[in-house]
Amino acid sequence: MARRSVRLQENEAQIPDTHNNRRKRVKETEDSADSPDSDDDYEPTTRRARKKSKKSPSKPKATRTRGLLERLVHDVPLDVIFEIFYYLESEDILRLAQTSRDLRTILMSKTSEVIWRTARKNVEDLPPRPHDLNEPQYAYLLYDPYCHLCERKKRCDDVYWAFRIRCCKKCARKTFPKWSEFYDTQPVEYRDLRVLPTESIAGDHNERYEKVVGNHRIAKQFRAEFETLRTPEARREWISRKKEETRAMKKHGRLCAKWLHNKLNEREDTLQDIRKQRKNDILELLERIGWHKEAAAIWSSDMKSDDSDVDSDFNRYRKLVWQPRKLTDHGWNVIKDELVETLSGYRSKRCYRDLYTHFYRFREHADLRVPFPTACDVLTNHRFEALIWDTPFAEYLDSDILEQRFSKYIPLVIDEWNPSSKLQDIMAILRKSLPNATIPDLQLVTTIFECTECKEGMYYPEMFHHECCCKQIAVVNRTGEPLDYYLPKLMDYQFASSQAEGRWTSQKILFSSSRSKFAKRIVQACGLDPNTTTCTNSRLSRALIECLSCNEETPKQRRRCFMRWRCAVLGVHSEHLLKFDSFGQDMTQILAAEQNQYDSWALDWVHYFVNGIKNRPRTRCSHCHKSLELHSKGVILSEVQTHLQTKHKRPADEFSGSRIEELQEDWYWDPRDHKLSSYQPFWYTT
Amino acid sequence: MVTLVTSDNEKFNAEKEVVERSVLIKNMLEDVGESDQPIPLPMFLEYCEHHRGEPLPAPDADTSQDDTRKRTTDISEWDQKFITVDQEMLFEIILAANYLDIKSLLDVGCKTVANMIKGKTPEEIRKLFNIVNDFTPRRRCAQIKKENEWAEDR
Repeated sequence: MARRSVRLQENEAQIPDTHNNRRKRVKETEDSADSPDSDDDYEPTTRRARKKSKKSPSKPKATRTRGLLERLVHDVPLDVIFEIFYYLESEDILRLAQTSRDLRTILMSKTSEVIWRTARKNVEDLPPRPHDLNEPQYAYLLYDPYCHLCERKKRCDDVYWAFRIRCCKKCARKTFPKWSEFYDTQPVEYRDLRVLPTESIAGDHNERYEKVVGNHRIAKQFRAEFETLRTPEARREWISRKKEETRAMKKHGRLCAKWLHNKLNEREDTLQDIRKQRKNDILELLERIGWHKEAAAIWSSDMKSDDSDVDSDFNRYRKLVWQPRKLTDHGWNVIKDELVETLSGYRSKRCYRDLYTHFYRFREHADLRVPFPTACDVLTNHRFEALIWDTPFAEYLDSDILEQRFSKYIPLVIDEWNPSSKLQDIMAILRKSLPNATIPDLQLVTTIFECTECKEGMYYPEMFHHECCCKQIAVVNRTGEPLDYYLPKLMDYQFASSQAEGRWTSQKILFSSSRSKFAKRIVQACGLDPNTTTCTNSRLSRALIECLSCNEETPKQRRRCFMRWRCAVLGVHSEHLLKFDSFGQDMTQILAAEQNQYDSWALDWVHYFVNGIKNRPRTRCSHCHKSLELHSKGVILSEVQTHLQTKHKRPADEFSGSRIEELQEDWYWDPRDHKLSSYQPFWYTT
Repeated sequence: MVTLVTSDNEKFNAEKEVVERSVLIKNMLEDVGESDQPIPLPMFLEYCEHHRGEPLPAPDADTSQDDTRKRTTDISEWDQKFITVDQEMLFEIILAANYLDIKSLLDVGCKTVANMIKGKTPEEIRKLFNIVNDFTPRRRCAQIKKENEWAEDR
């Protein structure tokens, strides 16, 4: 393009009046666009005459400072504008043409075709323009990122090259007919000859596979062209030409699809780089204000599958950070407060979660035969609250520090919870009915308590783990929020740990006189003294009881109901007719039936566990309190024996021929699981 | 030495070799012509001083090449620093480079504007260059139909 000649002549003549110079040029452009020579494919550029304003001329008119590009468009000769546009790619030109009417007027005039062509050639590996599209149409198909049919402002990367359209799958399924249905409506002369362009669209949820589709609009156009031809030769020639065009179109489409695929990959790589850079920039800035370790922690939390309780924080953080947008000073100022708030929220949740984990592990090795606090009792203690809320955020509380502090504080916290006072609470309840009761009396078989809410019977210390006594979720004093706000998984943890984790209260416990009287009868029936017999009495543990009231008899078989003493006392047999220990020659078979019943319950327990029943029979070692999670009574003995041999160096011959009941000094039922472990009767069928 | 007088009567002395990078001034000097067109003279002189001695493009350099050749927007480090100015000044530089016919400076100005446009959405371009969106929604739909008429199928 000649840089000097015309423009300098023009400048020499009209240098002072650059604005008028421009106006003249735009008018010329408009004229040229309207002229018969202009390309019909381009947008018409005529403008309506502006109406005169009726407003008073004295009223000041709002003005706007024109930006660089507009001033260039208005005040600089066209060849300079073109010079700028030559450096751009088709995508940029397309977007410029969508910016304002003036730019569109320039870019959509026939004289601008060279700009589009140059811009297209600036794009690497772009397939050549097909003959049926003009430059802007081709650019629009290649680059406009939205569905051309529904125009939803959601990015759409599905281009149907043979149909010259970009549209979303929903629109495609709605618009394009299936080839099998479409085929029958087409002229027989060319419907089999690959004349009509087709496309494949992905199947929806009803159709698994891709389906071939046609295009009514194109078919209509083809039919119109075909029907204007009168001679067989012309029609044959037309079919041959269309077939070749469609083949070329398909080939070109494949090239375009490959180009688009590479472009999208490049774009994704670029966006990913920008995101990473933004994330690093944010981390650097967070480091200056002391939050970078928390930021790294929240980011890595995404990798953990069990972190759904921090999902909302992570998602909020990710939304702010993981954007394909460079971080600016303004951008940082906008997101800074929200970031810190998010990280702060995450920090408290992370700390509570870690402390709960340490508490859970600690409890697994704690003596549960004495009063023991729940998670809420422990985690809302002022020491842990101070640790979480008073530690400066710049001092990162990692898992090791939290474990160290937990180990340091937990004896003090339990001490402050005051197990002795809790014991006295229970004693006070007992003394309302038995004024002379002493603490050792809590171990007696006749000392039975009852929940006022669920009416369930229980022995000491089972009430410290009873659901109704641990329902109230404690409040975090520093914020007034309930603990499960910071530990959303608390309810899930309850499931995992077989224990209600709310704050413990003795208000729902009463001494059960009726159950106590019934227990007294059972103890006496076993030939024992109710004033001295404790729950660990081995004679009582061996006692086998038959409930004659529950027995079932049919003409074909007789089912006899047997149980151990806890089942009789805490179950529903208080009004039933019971028989004790005199079973003669059936004894061996009855004990075998008990074993079989326990084994089948093992399967049931697995079933209950999977279906959300949280308890599972467990025993704990009396010496180290290790929890031995077991499935059947038969296994209990072997597990207890193995544990005592390996961990406590007890000789194997000590247990030979023992029944589990005979080792009562070495193990105890986990008080959280007392129900399933000892309430079940079993059946002996003859 | 040549003395250049700006429209506000400020005088600048420069060597003839420097100012002759402007084809306009070179021609003026040859023809002893004059002009009262205001130009950002100090920047112009700084640019020409830096590029002193570099070969000038042939007068028909543009016409001898294909207009649709692939163009890059790479700018040398010094030029990049030189052209890092506000939009007002950039406009003046492009105007002056065009008027004074300094091809290399005009190229730098054009590349800079092109780089500002590249990769931006219409809205970002409007925001950057303070352009009002004067399209009506109806017009936008019309454009789409026009540009996409053959494949449009409802």
